[in-house]
Amino acid sequence: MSNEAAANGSRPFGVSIPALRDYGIYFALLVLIAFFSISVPEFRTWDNAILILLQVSVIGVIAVGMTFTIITAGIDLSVGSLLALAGILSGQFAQKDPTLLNMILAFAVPIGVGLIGGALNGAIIAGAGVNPLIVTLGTLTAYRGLVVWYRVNPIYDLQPYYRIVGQGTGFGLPIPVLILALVAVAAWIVLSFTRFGRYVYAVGGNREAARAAGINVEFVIFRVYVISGLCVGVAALMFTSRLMAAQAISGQGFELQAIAAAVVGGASLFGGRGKISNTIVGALIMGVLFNGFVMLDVSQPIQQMAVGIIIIVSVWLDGVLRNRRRKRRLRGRWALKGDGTGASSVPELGAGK
Amino acid sequence: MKASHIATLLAAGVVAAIAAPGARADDKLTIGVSYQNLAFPYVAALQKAAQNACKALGVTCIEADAVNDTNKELNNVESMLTKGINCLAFEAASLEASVASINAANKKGVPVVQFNGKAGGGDYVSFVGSAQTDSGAKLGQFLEGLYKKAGKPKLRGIYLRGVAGQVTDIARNDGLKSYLNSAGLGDKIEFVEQYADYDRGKGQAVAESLLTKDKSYDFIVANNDDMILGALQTVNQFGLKIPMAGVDGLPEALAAIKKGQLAATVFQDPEGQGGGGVWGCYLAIKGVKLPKDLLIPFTLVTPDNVDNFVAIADRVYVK
Amino acid sequence: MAAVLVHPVEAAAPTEERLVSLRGIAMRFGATRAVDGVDLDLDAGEIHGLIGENGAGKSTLMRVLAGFFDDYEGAIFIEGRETDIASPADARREGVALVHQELSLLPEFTVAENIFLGCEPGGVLPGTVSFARMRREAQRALSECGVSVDPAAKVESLSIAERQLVEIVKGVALAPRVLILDEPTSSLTIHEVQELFAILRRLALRGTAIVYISHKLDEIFAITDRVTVLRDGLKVATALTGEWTESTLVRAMVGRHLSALFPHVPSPPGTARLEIRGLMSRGAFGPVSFALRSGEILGLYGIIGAGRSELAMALFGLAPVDGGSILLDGDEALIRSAAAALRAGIAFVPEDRHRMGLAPMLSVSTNMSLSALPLLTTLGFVRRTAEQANVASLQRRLLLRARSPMQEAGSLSGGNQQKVVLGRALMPGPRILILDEPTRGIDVVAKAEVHGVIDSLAREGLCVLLISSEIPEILGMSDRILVMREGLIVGEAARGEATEELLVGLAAGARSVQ
Repeated sequence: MSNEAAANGSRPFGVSIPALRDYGIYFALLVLIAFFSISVPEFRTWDNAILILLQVSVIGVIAVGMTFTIITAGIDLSVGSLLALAGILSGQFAQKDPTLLNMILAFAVPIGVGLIGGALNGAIIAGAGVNPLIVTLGTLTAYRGLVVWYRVNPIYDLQPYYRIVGQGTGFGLPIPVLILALVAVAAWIVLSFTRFGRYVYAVGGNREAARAAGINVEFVIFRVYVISGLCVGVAALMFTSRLMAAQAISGQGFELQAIAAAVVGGASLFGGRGKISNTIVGALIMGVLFNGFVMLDVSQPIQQMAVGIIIIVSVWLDGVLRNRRRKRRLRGRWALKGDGTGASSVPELGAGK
Repeated sequence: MKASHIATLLAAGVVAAIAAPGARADDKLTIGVSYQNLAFPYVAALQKAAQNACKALGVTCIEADAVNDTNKELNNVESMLTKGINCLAFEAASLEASVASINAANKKGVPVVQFNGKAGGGDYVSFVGSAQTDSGAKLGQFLEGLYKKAGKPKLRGIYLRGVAGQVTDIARNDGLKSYLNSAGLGDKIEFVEQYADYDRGKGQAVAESLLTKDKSYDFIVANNDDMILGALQTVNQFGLKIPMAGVDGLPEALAAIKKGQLAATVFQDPEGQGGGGVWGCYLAIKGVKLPKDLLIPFTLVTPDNVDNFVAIADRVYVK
Repeated sequence: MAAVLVHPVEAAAPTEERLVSLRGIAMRFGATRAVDGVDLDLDAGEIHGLIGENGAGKSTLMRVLAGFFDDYEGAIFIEGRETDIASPADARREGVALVHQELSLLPEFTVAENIFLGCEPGGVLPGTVSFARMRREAQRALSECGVSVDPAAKVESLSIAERQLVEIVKGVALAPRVLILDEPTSSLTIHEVQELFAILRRLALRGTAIVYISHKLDEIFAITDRVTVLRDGLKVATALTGEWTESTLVRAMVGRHLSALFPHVPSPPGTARLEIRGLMSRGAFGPVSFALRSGEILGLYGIIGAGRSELAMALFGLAPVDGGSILLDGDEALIRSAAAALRAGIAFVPEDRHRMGLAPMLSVSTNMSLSALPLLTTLGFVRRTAEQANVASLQRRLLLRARSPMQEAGSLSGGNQQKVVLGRALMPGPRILILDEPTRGIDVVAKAEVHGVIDSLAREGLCVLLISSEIPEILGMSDRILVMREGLIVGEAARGEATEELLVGLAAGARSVQ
């Protein structure tokens, strides 16, 4: 699914607009990596590279699910609270004696909780047609209240076998990194090659047009929230196992980090745009920043300011690139002679009398 | 609060209660208790201790949770005042903004006993809590012991801070640094500091990044147990052995000390603070004159004395 | 490019007699020159038609005059005085008003607020707005234009036609010296168009210069005094309206002869494939009954609000029905969703391609294959080669001009966008095609091409229901015409019998003819 624009026009810095939008973040990531590699020698070790992947794995998995909802012009703010709920319930089973049943439940329950939480979100958003921002804001609060009410004290003393998901390795890589890769590839395949993936983009691109094209819009919307919940369930398992503790207060702020990863990666909150690969790059950019700043001993408030600026710049850049297209009416060489008619779906504001 | 302290207060209280004119045994007193954020396990332990105290005293307690939001805190307190309470046991969520809640109680003439966190203003009868600088000093004590045993001219370690700008974090930092300075170790112990927001996951992530760069730290200390336990995961994963210490005295930390994974923690007494808040209110209602500050000391917990504290922790923490 | 000149191009020096003179206006977007050096004069009190193919530069030229761009080349003279119009505020100061083709109203605001957007009448205290005065003056402007819309109504509650009228009133309310109308009648009925013409003539009498951009040649001949033709960003010719004929105009626009605008050759229709019996939807239409035969183009005419689009949506499963039945090839069909309609072989091209037609940021190919995906999927995966083949063949058949099928659909011209929507409807291989205003707002060439496709589809045996408000289109393309009024069918006429007067009369409420 390519997002190329009919750019026969603007070429800032000699790079065409679609290239800038799609690949600009790869370039930004390389610049950051280069910068930190030069500033901190320990940064450019293989171990550190693996560490960065490990540290972005939980947010990365959540961001993959979030990309689906963002493409449909929706959003899922409840991911952090749902993660805590899934984690606590997983921890309860992981604390018990390591019988086969308990072990299976310790791994399966968080995924199930994620699916149910996501389905609840999806049912309300698709069924009642309520704004996703509001619904998931409500479930963010409700799920958090539920988990804190259910179990305020942390669960530790988890059985040693549980460690494997968050702290194990396979093929020389940490398991969470492998899980992130698996989830990302699966999501990419779905979005790029399946009918459902097309429908996700169509619903986000123009909901009424999708409906007129015969797509069951509500069912598509329901499913993307289930997917988001599933990703949260997997992330909860990874997170709890990594920490070897389940806490009711976990996950606060995760929704913003996941949204930031997707948005820095070029997903549009207005819908219809977003790529899994770019979301992963967005998550990596933030992971590299965090890791590099700690190594450079930069204080946390400055870290936060830097990340905030980067998010703002990415969204602004996306808006600028889109406005250039709309206002400047880039045209190909065929019958589109720059007349500016018929191409805009949003009337231009500021048009005088 | 040590058992002896409680016993003293109890004795004093019982005597005063009997001696107070017009006191009837079936007087139904109501104490309002406001917490800063029950999602924190330590605060939940305070709650358990306070509830135990309410039961023991036979008074009605109504509770409210500020959820770290001073606006909500004020609303809660005003509702409790409207319902009618005889005393307010108050755990301030913030230094400045919580003053409004205390002022509200003052206006209604309801006595206020603060516990654990002290707001920066308003009239209160007594503060039952611990001076957070003391906990920092105890950490300093731990490092002093470490320095003496290590025999090296200089020590270098990681210091995991809490939330930047938060009162307790600043107090613990101040306590730690001034203790070391007065012990003459100010320039002999070097810190690499990072904020980890009191969060276990962030403590783990920060430790990962720092330890990947350099595995030769002499110690890791943190302003709460959650962060040090997160760092402990990393240390174990990397197969290192580094002396580590936190603050709070969570049951998990005590267990880790018993297992030899954690070197020390600074025990904060939820029973003394939470229970003490309710007790203080009860005595204030009965007219007993209380000292303005009832400071409950912190204790440095090491493998030698850890068992004493496990019992207390079990009483108020849920496993 | 061969120029067809009727009169030599006038390039006299701007004098005070001409209200507006444009000299050497050029406007560039990146590497494309949308307008490439155009001279144009406007006289006070004249209605000046401006026509050209899509992409010829008409809208851009007028937008330069209306202050949309601050980086145009060339000079603008108002009453002989050179002036720089670099912002809408400048244009407003010079008395230039533009009525948009793409509606620029804010849906959440009321009609009055929209009319006075940016120049709200002040209230008692400085900086406040007097809503009462605004409503009064809006009412006055509306009444003067003969538009019966409540100034306090929110724009989102108005129909497209009403919005277009409000848009026009917005331009007129400023009492401008130059009023530019860009495709003002695409959503209006004949009656409303006449009203508009009356307003324009009154304005012209008062000395306003009016520029009338339109694709509709019959309107150009009806209302304008002079016509300028643009092609490829250059002026081809300017001449008095009386000196043009339809074919010379078209040839000037296109540079070549267009054989026919309505290339429909009627063929004997086949069996009835679609039968509607007593179909109704409370408050919208019905009960209506008619049959559609294979190979037949059935025109459906009526004024806006007659219920035609509602009927189309009900046939396609996008709107509920309260009674009646639909029979496909003799069997009753329950069509309760668009997916069900598609499965039954019904296809639909909606009236508003922006709202229900395209997802502008998705590619041409993705948009086109959307309805046909269930047929192009195996085990959940899209068969890309099959999809590409289908897209390519439809692109050829529809004469769709795009640099590549991966191009973003939103960057195409209106005509090509409409072809994408048509392609989307055709890809699943339907047997029944419902078209709702399929050539609205697209240029003459694209219109002819779309008509050609519709004709060939009918010859292949498709049943076509053509809903249109354009008399020439419906008369030229249909084998049979039904007229709807207030939700009911009030008349039917065969190809030879139907005339403009008959259709308009029936739609307006004259005695019904069966």
